[in-house]
Amino acid sequence: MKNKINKKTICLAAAAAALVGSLSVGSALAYFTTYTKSEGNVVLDLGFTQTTPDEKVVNGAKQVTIQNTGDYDCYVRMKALVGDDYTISYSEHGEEEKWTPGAEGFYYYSDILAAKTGVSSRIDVNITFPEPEDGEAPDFNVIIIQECTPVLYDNEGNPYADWNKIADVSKTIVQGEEGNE
Amino acid sequence: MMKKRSKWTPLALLLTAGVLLLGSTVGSTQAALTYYSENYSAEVTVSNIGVSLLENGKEVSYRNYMKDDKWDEKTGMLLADLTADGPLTLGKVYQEKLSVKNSGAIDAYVRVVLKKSWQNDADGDGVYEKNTTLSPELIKLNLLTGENGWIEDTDASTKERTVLYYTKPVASEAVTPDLSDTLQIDPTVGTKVVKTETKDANGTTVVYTYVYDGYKFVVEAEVDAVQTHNAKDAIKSAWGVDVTVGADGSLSLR
Repeated sequence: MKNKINKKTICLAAAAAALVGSLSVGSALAYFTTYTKSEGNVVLDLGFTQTTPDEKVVNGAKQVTIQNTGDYDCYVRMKALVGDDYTISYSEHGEEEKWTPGAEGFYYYSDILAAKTGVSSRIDVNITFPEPEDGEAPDFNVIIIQECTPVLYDNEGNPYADWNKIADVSKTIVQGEEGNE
Repeated sequence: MMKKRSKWTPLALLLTAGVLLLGSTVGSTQAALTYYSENYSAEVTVSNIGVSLLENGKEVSYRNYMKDDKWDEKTGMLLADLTADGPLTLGKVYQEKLSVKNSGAIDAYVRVVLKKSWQNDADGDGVYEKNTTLSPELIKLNLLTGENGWIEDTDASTKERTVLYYTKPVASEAVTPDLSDTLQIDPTVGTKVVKTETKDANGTTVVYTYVYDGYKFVVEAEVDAVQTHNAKDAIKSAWGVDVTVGADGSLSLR
């Protein structure tokens, strides 16, 4: 009987202590806290850059302008290819010179052509013909090569062109008459 | 000779415990009663905690305690102005200044958990899911940790998640220095293409398609704030991290 009373006493005392203790724990957890969240996203719309040249032959010269018809701002360059019998030179008619000769025989346009709407100033490819042997004007064929590259930005946010940029082809799909997908 | 224990002892103990419990309740009741007094109302007002996330100086989201368990809160969108001037350009550096404002009435310590990920709609059902083939490191959010008071918990950070702590207490209505300044998507994302050659009677047509066209990048920011009073225990309780608080209130991770 004596032992029973002692156990009961201890249990009651422990229960009382636990109850009182739990009140203190509750107070200790009541810190002032708060939080806030935000999220944002942007979908990549990686359309290809595309340019369309406009070429006219006027008085033995080819007048060339290039329009950006793609989705992104770009830089452009151009050059003319002719047969060995002809010589060519380039000239501009604007007040500012924006076409500059550079690497690989190209003329580089200094300004960025805005997506969809940007058009370069005109550059003329002047052709000098050899003296005709029979007095007739010779046929000639001048091929204009024009290329574009999307505008890139350095870490300071300055735009630049990378004409050596190479696409990393991760997969090639061949489909149609001779190939299998 | 042992003294005989009274049979009333358990009852006395039980009563004592009851009195103690009641005493605690009375304490709370007193607090509740004074809560409505003018003096106590003033004290409640200065105990409000609140925090706001700022993007380029604008408040994007916040959560401020009002009273009676009511919160004034708003959750806005990050990066909403990123494409205001046209489609996103790979490699272009965009301004992305993130900072934290203490919009509560008491001083607070703050931390920010940033998450970056790529998602795509692989099934074409309009639901974007996280994609782990692209590294979150290609989403370059330039962090300004160091002398400005922000430090990174490198043990808790991963490629996808960055945990930043501001090491000084932020006073009410004060704004921390920027924790980031720019955002840039690595231009190598735009170098991966798939080449499709289609052959027909007219010849071969070659079309290049960007591998990551249609992917979206996601940036999440969670700001946590905790009271400066009893900061060490409060931070351990709220954030689960051990810190040391200097005499000047500066925080350092342990």
